[in-house]
Amino acid sequence: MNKNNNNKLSYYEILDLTENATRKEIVEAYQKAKGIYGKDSMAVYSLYSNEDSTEMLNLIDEAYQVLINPQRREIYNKEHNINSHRSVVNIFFDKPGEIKRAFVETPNFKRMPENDISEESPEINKEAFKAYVSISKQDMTPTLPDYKSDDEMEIKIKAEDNFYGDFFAEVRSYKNMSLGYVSNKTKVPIYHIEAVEREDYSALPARVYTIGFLKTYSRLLGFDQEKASKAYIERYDKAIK
Amino acid sequence: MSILWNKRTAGNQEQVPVETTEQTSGERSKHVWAVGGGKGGVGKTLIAANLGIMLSREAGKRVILVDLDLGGANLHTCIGIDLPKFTLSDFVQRDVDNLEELVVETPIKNLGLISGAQDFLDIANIKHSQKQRFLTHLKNLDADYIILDLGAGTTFNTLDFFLASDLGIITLVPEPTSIENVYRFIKSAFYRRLKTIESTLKIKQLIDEIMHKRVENNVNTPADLLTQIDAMDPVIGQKVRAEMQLFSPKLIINMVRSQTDVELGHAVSSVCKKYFGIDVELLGYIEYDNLVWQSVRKKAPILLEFPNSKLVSNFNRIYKKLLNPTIKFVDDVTERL
Repeated sequence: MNKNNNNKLSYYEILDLTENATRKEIVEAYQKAKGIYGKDSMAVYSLYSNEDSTEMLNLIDEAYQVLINPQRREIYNKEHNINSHRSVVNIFFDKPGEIKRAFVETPNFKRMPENDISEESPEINKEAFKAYVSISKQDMTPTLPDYKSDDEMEIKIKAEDNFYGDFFAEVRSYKNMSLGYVSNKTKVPIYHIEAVEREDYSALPARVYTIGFLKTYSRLLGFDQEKASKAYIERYDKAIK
Repeated sequence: MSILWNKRTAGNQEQVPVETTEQTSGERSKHVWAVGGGKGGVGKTLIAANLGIMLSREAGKRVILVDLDLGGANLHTCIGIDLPKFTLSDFVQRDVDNLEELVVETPIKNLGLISGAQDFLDIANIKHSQKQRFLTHLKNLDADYIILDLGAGTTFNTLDFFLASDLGIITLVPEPTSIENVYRFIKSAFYRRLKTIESTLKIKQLIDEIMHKRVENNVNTPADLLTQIDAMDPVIGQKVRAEMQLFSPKLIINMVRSQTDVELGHAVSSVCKKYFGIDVELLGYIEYDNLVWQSVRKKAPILLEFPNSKLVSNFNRIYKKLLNPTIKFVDDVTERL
């Protein structure tokens, strides 16, 4: 089975989701789909070769990467003429200047990373869309990327108290680290790193694992791991309550 | 009253599709259910027998079980009766003119049985005309529900009986061998069904053309084939999809030991949708229980022999869902395992 062939299925179909699926449903569907097409899965025995399964798993990752991010999802929906009230709500129930905020459903979210998609978002940006889709295929090399040190930024990192998800994203971007690189170094799946950055508690695993993720990720970014994970987990606890 | 009998039969190159004529003098609505699954020992007979018992006892419906495991019939044993004097062999050899004459009553009220051929091994290869005669008689049986217990394998006869039913039930056990046979069974039935559509819609040329260029068109699965038909001729594509929609077997997962086994049922259903492009709904599950073999040894149906068994509630749930498809699948196996 090759890619073109599988692309006949929409991202929603690949994950067995309705077009109005919630974030929680997307995460659950993703985990389930990974199991169905995973190595040694009985459900595809005799029907899919190893190669077919791998191809399907890549597609599942790709579908997840797009659907879990409201912005990417909105672009995808527009490209495919899909009317999902989920993304419409996300975009239009907010003031124009605050579009970015509206993409995230958690209350503690402050701001999206600088390098994220343009504020005039509803316009389809094909290049940006392609870039998002290819995120899963990003550089996974374990070599530490180069970055231009910025004194102001370094001071900001030292002075930070809140450690919101978008601060993680901001510093990651400052240090030129791709999600693939972070995932490779920390052994934390990309979707969990993204969830940390979005402060999407519903997409994060159990508390004990989340603390672990936060500490490793903080260490990689050069934060005080105890301080950063404590600040973050306090919000997590409050939200879970 | 309408006769709920879909014209769902399939043909192949050698045989013309079996035609079933609409019955006009029917007195009640009839449902023909078929239980198949490709592999032997996965519980087809157990499920057919117990669904029959539930329908006759709980719903008070007239039910006739038909043992179509030609050459290997033993449904009568599961129901607790001796091999009837007349079996399908007599009908096929025309010693008995009317299928109705073969119906023997069982100890369960409202439940009749037509036993499969036992004595002639080659009976499994009945001719096309015999099959047609049989199907015509079958739908004329005086019953509310006719339940066909199919044999293992994917012979044309078995597939045709499955496709000729209003509702096809596939039995699966959580083992690779069973999975493999289920997929093979669905694949065979899919193509046999498509063969019939091919002749009724006159699309043989179109399909040949697609299959000829399958590599360049990326047609690797039955679902791709449907998509490609759509792409080449949307009108025909829609008709083919509507016809294939009638082929939507239900799935029962048997010998369930854990929640993972139930999830396998959901997974198979999901894979079928993507691979074959058809809906294979999971009806329910039956837990693994030693009482099953004990009841077989006693030659008594489990529902009657062990009325307090957990299997009773398993069957009850499946039976309710069959009668009312809007009931949601309840997945609480973990509570008791």
